[in-house]
Parts: sequence; structure tokens; C-alpha cells
Amino acid sequence: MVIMRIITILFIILSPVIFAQQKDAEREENPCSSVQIKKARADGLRSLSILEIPLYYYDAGRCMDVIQSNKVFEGIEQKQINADFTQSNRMQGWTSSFAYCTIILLATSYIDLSVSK
Amino acid sequence: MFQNRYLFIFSFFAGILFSQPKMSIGMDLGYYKPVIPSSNENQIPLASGFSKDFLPGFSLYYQFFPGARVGFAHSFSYQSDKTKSGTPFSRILSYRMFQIETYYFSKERLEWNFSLGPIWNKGSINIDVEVDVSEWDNVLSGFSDGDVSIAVANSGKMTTSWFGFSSFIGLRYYVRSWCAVDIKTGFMNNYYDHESWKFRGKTVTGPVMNIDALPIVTVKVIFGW
Repeated sequence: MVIMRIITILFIILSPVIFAQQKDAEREENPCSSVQIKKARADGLRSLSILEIPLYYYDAGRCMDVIQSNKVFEGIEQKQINADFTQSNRMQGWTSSFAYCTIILLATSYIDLSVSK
Repeated sequence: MFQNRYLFIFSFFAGILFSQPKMSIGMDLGYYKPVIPSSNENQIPLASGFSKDFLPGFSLYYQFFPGARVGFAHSFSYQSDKTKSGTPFSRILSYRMFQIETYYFSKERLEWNFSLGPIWNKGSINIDVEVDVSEWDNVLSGFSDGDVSIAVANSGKMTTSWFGFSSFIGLRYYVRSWCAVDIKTGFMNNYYDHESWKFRGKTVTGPVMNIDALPIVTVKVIFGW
């Protein structure tokens, strides 16, 4: 009974991996069109899950061997860096208040230390 | 019996594996200047250099909000030496920080971050001493013709815990989108009491350490997605 439950849960967890991935032969033939690379190009590197990240870098390595260039992947990388900057290039709401609290506390601690010496 | 907590743990890790990670792990080396004096009465020798001023450690953060992370950072100071009477001992001070960190990018690849949070610290002094145990000697001698005397290792550890809080300002440069170097300057406020050490369940007095207010600088290498 316990084993059946474990198998059921493992099946539920692993079924997306088992059924949603491209066939191995398809990935072997053309690594540049793998699902992970397409996803990274469309939505950025941060759209990849932990399970997809190793597959992405594996396919990217093989793709670079095929096309003899890393420009596509440098582009994906740069796009992600731009997206990160755009998403967090200013502090808003409570995050800025939190930063001010940290600065005040840090400054107070240093002043207190220098005065006590 | 299969318990619901396993289902929860499975679901939790499955969620992490199949979602966008937003996690970062880091290895860091800190530098600080604690005052850990030694005296003629104190058997522990003076710590110096790496065993006193440097704090190797690691950290784990999760981005829970755009521009904010929550995480755990663990740094420790380790001294392994011999007491003044020649017995091996080790001393560990662990600084365990539970932090919230907010950040923003002032330029592409360049991030300012601000961390604040409580720290729950632990100190331990471990001494390994070899002693003659007459009971063992009697048992061993009973099996052989002559007297047998073999020293038995006897290990003891005194520990203490104390509370504090930390605040840091950091500057992080992203070498790649998943790899960054982070330099932080900060401050640790500790409420250490040398009279609240524990040894075998009894409260004892430990070493006097002046670690109440400690400026600290750390360099981190961060890997994150």
C-alpha cells in the first residue's frame, strides 16, 4: 500500500518530464531547436526550471558546435541581463523603506562604535 | 504508515524542481576583528590570523518578490590548536544569519543590495583528552597474563548560543546572468554572555570575548538562476 502511494506520487511528479519532453532522437538531430533553447529565446533564461537548466546548457553546447558560433547564446544572456535591469532598476514601496532602515541601522552602529572608542 | 508530511515534502520539492528557481547560492569569505583575549588562567591559546579574523561561509537566498530576497547565511570562525597543557582542542563560532535583502540595479550588471536580519549564533569548545579508565584496564588485564593499561579517548564539548542582528550593504557585479561577485560591508551586533555556557547540562563560565559590535567585510561568489 505504501509502495503504491510512493509510486503514484513519483509518477505524478515525473510524468511531465516523461511526456512533455521532445523525443531524444529529435533533440539529437537538431539541438538548436530544443524546447529549452526555444523557451530561453522567447521568455529568457529565468523562465527555465531547475530541471530544464542542465538540458539547456547541454543543448546550447551541442548547438554551438553545430553552428560554430555562440552569438545566439550571448544574445540570450544579454537579453536576460537587460530584463533583470529593467525589472529591478528602481526601488519602490517597502523595498526602499527597508533599504533606508538598513542604511540608518548600519550608520548608527558605526557611529556608536566610533563614539564608544 | 504513509504520512501526509511526506506528501507535503514531495510537493514542496516538486514545486521547486518544476518552477522558475529564483534561488541563489553563494560562497563567501568574511573579515572581521573580534577581540578574543587569552590569559594565564585561560587554557585556550590566543587565536590569530585565519582562525580569528576570517569567516568562511555559505548562503542560500530565494527571490520572493521583484527586488527582494529572503535567505540564510552561515559564517563560522574555526580554531584548532592545543591547550597550554598540550591537549588538542577546537573552537567554533557560528554566525547564522536569517536575512531579508532588497536590491536594485543602478546599472546593467551592477546591483546594490541591503540586508537586515536576526542572527542566532553558536559557540563551541571541544577538547579531546585521553584518560586511563581503571575499569577498562581491569577488564583487559583479566583477559591477559600481565597488566594492560590503554588510554581511552574522552571527548567533551561546552557550548553556548546567543542572539544578535546584522545589517549589510553590498555591491554585486554580474559576470554572467547566473554568476556574480558580491562585496558587502556590514555590522553584527551580538548579545554574547560569557557566563551562560553549558557543559554537560550545567551552566559554566566561558571565555570573555568582546564581540558585541563587529564591523565586517565579506566577498561572495554567487551562483543563481
